[in-house]
Amino acid sequence: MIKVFLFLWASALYAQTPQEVRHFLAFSNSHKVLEKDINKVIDRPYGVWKELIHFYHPEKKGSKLCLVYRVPYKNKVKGELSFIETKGDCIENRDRGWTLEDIQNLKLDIKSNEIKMSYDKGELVFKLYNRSSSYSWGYHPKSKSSFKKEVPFWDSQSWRCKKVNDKCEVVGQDNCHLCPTATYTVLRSKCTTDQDRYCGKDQCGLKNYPACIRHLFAGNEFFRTGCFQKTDIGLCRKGLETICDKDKNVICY
Amino acid sequence: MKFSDQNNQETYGLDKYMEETQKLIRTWRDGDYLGHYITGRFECPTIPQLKDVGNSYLRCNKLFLQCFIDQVKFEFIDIESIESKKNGDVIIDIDLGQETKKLVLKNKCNEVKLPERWYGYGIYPKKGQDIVWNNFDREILVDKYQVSIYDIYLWDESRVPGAIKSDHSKWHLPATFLLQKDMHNYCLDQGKQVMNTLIFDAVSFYPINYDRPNKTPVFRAPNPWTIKYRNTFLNPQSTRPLNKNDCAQAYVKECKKSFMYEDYLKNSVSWSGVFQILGGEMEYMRNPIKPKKNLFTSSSLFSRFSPFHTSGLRFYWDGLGHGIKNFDFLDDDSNLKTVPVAFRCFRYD
Repeated sequence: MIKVFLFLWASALYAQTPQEVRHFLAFSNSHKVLEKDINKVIDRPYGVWKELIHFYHPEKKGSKLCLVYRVPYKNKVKGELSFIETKGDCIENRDRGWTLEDIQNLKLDIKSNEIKMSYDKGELVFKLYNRSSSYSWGYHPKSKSSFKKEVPFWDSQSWRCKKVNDKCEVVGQDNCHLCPTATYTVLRSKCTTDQDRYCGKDQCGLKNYPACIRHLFAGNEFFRTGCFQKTDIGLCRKGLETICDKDKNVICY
Repeated sequence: MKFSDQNNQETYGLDKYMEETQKLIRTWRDGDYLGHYITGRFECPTIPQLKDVGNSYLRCNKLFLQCFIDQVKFEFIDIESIESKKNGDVIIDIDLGQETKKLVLKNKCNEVKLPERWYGYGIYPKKGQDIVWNNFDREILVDKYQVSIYDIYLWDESRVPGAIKSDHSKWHLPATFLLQKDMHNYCLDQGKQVMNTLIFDAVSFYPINYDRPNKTPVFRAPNPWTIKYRNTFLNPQSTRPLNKNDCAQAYVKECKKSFMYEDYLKNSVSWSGVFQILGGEMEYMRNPIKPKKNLFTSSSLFSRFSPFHTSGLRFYWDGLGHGIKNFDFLDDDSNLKTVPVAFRCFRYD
C-alpha cells in the first residue's frame, strides 16, 4: 500500500500542465538539442515521433523535460508537440505530458540566447538570458499580436487571451484554454453576452485595476456608448470611481 | 485480452467493461455510493471514519478511489496506473489487452454554482447606499468547502507541516497554515481565484426575497441558513444552551467542550449550498471594496456571543505570517501561538 502511494504522489510531481512545464523550465540550467534539421521545416519521416530537445533541472537528477514532435502527414496524421517530464523514454511516455495539437510546418531555430519553434498557427519561444538561472517563456499565436504585446498596464503577469468586439465576435483566437492559471473578465466591449478575458490573477476593484462587474444588463448606457467615466457597470474600491483607459477598458481610479 | 471472439460474448464483455468503468466513475463522483465503507466492508486506513467526515469528503477523493480499487475485484478491466494532477484531476490507465485507454476524472464534485440573482455587499445598510451587483448570465462556481490539508498535499507536499503530513486523520481538516501569497498561488494553479468578499457575502447572507431573484433592494439576513436570526443561538439575547445542531451549523468556542468538529464540517451548509461559513476556522478573502477588511473572523476561537461571528464584519490580516502581530484585531492577551487562517477558491466559468 505504501509503495502504491509513493508512486502516486511521485507521479503527481511530474510536469503535466503548461504551468508545471513553465516551472520546470524556470529552473532548467542546461539542455540538449537532438534534432538535426535546424531552421528548416521538420517534415520527415512522416507520422513519426521525434525527440527535439531535452531540458535538465538541477534538482531533478535523472529526470528530464522532453520536447517531442509527431511529424504530420497530409490529412492523415496531425502534427503534435508535447512536453513530457520523465526519467524514462520520452517517446514511450508521450501521453503523460502537455500537448499542443494541429502543428504544421514546425521549424526549430536555435541561437545562443533563444530557442524558437515556429509553426503555421503560432510560435513558442524560450529565451535563455542566463542559462544557469533564468529564461523567459512565451506562447505567441501569429493570428493576433503576441501575448507579450497584449500585457495590460495594470499587471505584467496578466495578458489578454480573448478579445471580443462590439458585435460579440471573438477577434483572433480564444486562447484562454492555454492560460497557465486562472482567467478573469474585463469590461470593454459593448457586447452584452461576452467580454474580453485575461489570464492571471483577478485584482478587480483596486486603483488602476479593472472594475469588478456589477451587472451586464443590456439596457445600461455602457452597452450603447462603450466606456465612459463614472459608469455604474463596474464596482470599485471605496473612494474610487470608474474611468476608461486608452483601450476603453473600465478601470478603477 | 478480456473479450471473446464470439460476437455475443464480446458484447457481454463490453457491457461488463462499461459496467466496471462506470463503477470507477460513480465512486469518483458519488463517493461511497455502494455503502462499502460506511458498513465496514472496506478498510481505508488513510481516510477518517465516514461518520466523522461525511460522504462528501469521499467524492472526487483519490485516496478513497484508490481504496475502492484495492478492495474491489475487477474481472474485465486491468488498472495499470492512477495519476493525480495538481488540480486534483485523476487519470486512470486501463489495460484492455491490445490497447490502453485513459479515463480522465475531473475534480469538479465540490463546486456549487452561485444562483443567478441580485446580491449585496456586507450588512444591509441602515442608511446610505447599498452596494449591489448581480450575476445574471455569468456563471460563478464556488468551492463548497475550505481548502483542506489533503488538497494542499496534492498541490505541493512540501507546504504541509511535517507533524500533520504523516497523520492522515487530519487531512480532511481545513489548511490553515499558508501565507496569503501561497493561498493565491494555490487557487491560481487550480484555474481559480481566492474567494472575494462580494461572492462570500452572496453565498452566506440569506436572501429574504428568495423567490424574487431579479428584484432590488436586496434585503438579506446575516445568517447562512435562516432568515430568523433572532431565533439562533448566536443572538446575544438567546439564553438557551447550545445543542449539537447549533454546533453543526456554527462551530463556536463553546462547542469544543461537548461536540465534534467533524459534525460541523458536514452539516454547516448555507442556503446556497456552500459549507463552513460561520464558526470553524477564520477565513481569508480578497476584499475589492475595502482591501483592509480581508478576514472573516467567525471561528471556534470566539465565544457564541462575540461580535466576531457577525456576517459582513471583517478585520485585517497582512498575510505575511500567523503571529498575533499579523492581525489588526488581536492582542497579546489572545494566548495564541499561531493564528490559523483557512481559505477557499472560486472561478468564473
